[in-house]
Amino acid sequence: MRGFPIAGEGRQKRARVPSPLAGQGAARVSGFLLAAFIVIASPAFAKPQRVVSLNLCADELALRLADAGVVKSVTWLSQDPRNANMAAQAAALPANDGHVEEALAYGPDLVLVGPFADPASIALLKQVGAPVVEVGAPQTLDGVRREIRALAATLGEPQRGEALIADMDARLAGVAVDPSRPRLKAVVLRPNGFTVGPGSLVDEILTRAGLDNLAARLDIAADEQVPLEVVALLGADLLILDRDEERAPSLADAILDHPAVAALARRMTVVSLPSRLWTCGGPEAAEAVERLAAAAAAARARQATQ
Amino acid sequence: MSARAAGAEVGYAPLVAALAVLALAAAFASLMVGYARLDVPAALADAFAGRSTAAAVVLEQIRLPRAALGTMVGFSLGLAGAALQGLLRNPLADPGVIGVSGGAALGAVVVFYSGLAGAFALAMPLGGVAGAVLAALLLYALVGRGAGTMTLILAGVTVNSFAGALTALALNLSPNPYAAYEIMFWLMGSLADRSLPQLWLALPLTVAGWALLLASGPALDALTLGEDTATSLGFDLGRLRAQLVAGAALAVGAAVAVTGAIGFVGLVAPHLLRPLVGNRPGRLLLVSGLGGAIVLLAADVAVRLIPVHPELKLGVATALIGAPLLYGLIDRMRKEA
Amino acid sequence: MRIEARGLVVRFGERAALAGLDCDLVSGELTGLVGPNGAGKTTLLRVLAGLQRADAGEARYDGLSAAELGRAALARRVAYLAQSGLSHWPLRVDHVVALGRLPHRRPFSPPSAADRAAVEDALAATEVEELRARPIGTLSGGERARALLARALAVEANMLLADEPVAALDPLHQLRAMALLRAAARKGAGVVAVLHDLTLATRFCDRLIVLAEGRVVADGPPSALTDKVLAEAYGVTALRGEHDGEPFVVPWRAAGPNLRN
Repeated sequence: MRGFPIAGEGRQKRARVPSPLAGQGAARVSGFLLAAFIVIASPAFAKPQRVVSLNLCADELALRLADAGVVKSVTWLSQDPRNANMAAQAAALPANDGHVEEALAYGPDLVLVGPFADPASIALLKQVGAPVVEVGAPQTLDGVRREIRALAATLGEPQRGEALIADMDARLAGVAVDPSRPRLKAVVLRPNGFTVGPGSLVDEILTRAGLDNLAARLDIAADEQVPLEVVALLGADLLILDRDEERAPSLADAILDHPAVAALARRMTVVSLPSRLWTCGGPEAAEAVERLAAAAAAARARQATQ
Repeated sequence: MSARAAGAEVGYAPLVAALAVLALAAAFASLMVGYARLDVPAALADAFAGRSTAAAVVLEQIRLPRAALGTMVGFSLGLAGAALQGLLRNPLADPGVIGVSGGAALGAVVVFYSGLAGAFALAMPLGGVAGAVLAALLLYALVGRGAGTMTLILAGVTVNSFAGALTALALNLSPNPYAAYEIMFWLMGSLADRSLPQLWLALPLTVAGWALLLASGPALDALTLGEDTATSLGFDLGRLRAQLVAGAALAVGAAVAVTGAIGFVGLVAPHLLRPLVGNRPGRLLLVSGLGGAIVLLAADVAVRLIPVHPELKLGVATALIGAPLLYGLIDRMRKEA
Repeated sequence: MRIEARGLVVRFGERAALAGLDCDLVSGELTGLVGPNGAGKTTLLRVLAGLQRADAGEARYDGLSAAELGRAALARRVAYLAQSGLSHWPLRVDHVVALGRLPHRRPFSPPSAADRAAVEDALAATEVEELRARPIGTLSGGERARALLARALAVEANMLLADEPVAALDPLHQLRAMALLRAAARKGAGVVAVLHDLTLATRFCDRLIVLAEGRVVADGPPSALTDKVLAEAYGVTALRGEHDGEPFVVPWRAAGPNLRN
């Protein structure tokens, strides 16, 4: 992949391999073969060295998969430990606001954008020769695996991708769901009164944790706002709050602190789940499943004693 | 001034009683309407018996605060509108139009998003009151005394623009990613999912405001004949102005801190009810408060019945009625001038 | 009641509206306050009514200063009728007149029998009873002036200070209003009226105070309005005479060398 030419950087370096083979003739042949291999390999298989990410979820996945120093800039959102999973690594990098001009300033050989990126911006990037790859927002765990593989391939780190997937699958397998017992009914409450409808990633996370997402009964397609009254009267066993302890104040979060929610907590189990575990479809979804399964077990225990 | 509805005046006590009954009915309607089917009598029974069923929780923690706040805020806006119109001798004065509500929203936003509200619960309504006072002072500086309609409207536009811009700035500066989108709430207002603690916090300041405003009745009557005559009838105008600004700031500021800025209630209620009290500003105060409560509760029922997701902001509903009314009023005043 | 003013000075910027003015006013008299435009007549009335603070000098009401008397007591004893007849809201005439009872009423208590009687008397005296239910904005200029005069009469104050109370009235109502003011003075009130019509002033008033350039130029019975005073204060000569035993004074021509501007 051609780099974007900026002063001083020039083209990609060719690897110089000092030949350990003795002898001028052998050295020259092996050197030639190596050089030939590199020449053939370079245009198609060289790993990107200057990656700029303009989207939170792309940030996290790229930081997990790429070598240190490859990612040059991430969005400011991923540097906040309250919102992001890779905050420590992200904090060491310069932040961007997700704008095209900022990306270009780094001379990237790969720009990562999210699923709702402005088409005009993407066109602009392509026009100046910066390759753009979209990191999707998967709605299923299979989709998560596909995204990880795709980005790993793009970054030239296929093994790391597989390792990440294997780790996630192992954790998922570790969550035991007893199929003989009826599933606990759960409802999710997110800032601004949003819940999660059927067919979304969070819905699958709930199912994997052995829970039944009541919002699916309400014929809600995709994530939609549900009035607090309705949430309260659903008769759920488990109320899952998308809430962080330390976020700066906002009205959107205020609804999660509503006294009605506190009152409901006396009748059902309420668990807070930080949104960073389910905002992006990444390997952290496994942790979400683990936590929910634990909460479900606690809810059953509580119901047994009531 | 025209002879519009010269014969429309009705007895004061029957009028107040009728409006009070209507306001109660509207509050009750607000309790009955919601997004989930709620068996209100059963929920009431549960609540009284102390059983905290889901129905009782919904009634007590969600619907009751909504109805009570609708009544309280509507009364405050209607009363403040009538009082400001009496003071400024202009039927277009309304806490929203002249910028007092906008200032209150700014005060509340600064307090809430800076985290001050977390430290000290009463900070929110006090922030609203402080913002309202500043807006009123700014307005007075621009308008002076007894300014004409044009100057008043322009001054209101100025204060509103300034307050709105600063509110948007404060929201953008907040570290929370949702904050920038919450401006719709602050500038257009909503009663959705308000809570009992918010009601208790706002109530004392609001009631203090009501007392100051209602006490100004005789002075506002005297002001009908101009400042000199009112002074000669024994009223201290400087004190009256301070009393009305403080009263309006308390009542409107505390309300806006809880519900955001809801406009036009203080314009619609006095306008509709003025002929029924013979155009007397003193009598209009209580009547307009009750009228404001009815208007706001009716609007709040309407936004819950209209099948729009997310819920329509209350200020949108009141503006849909109020803005055409304002237009008509200005048009009529222009023709009579 | 007796109002004593000593050394009143009121300045608006550079100009002195009152330049060290003394006068005494008593109940039982109809006093005409006359003088050219800008002489300080309105300013004097406003100071005496407690609406304008004097830069120097003071007025005493039965020996008490305005501060000592208190706002409420002053409002009960001194009524003021402004020159401009505004009503910001279209109230009914009887409600406008009832505003004159505010100094006597406790806040939020209903009107007493005395309040109602005072309103009725005022409506009758100014002959606006038939107009009682009409919104004041629908009245003619003269009718409105009478209604507002009724409001001032309803106060039943010891002293009524009226700024040009008859200027907008037609001749019949001018005569009737002047008779009314004199009758009120006979009943024991003091009435001070700013007047421009010199004939009305000399015919009806018990006393005339002539102001010019913020000072009293003449003070006494109507005969104090001599030709000399007319020339000095107004800069006019007048046609004088008598009819049915009452004097008339008609300004005729600008005066000679002693021209005022």
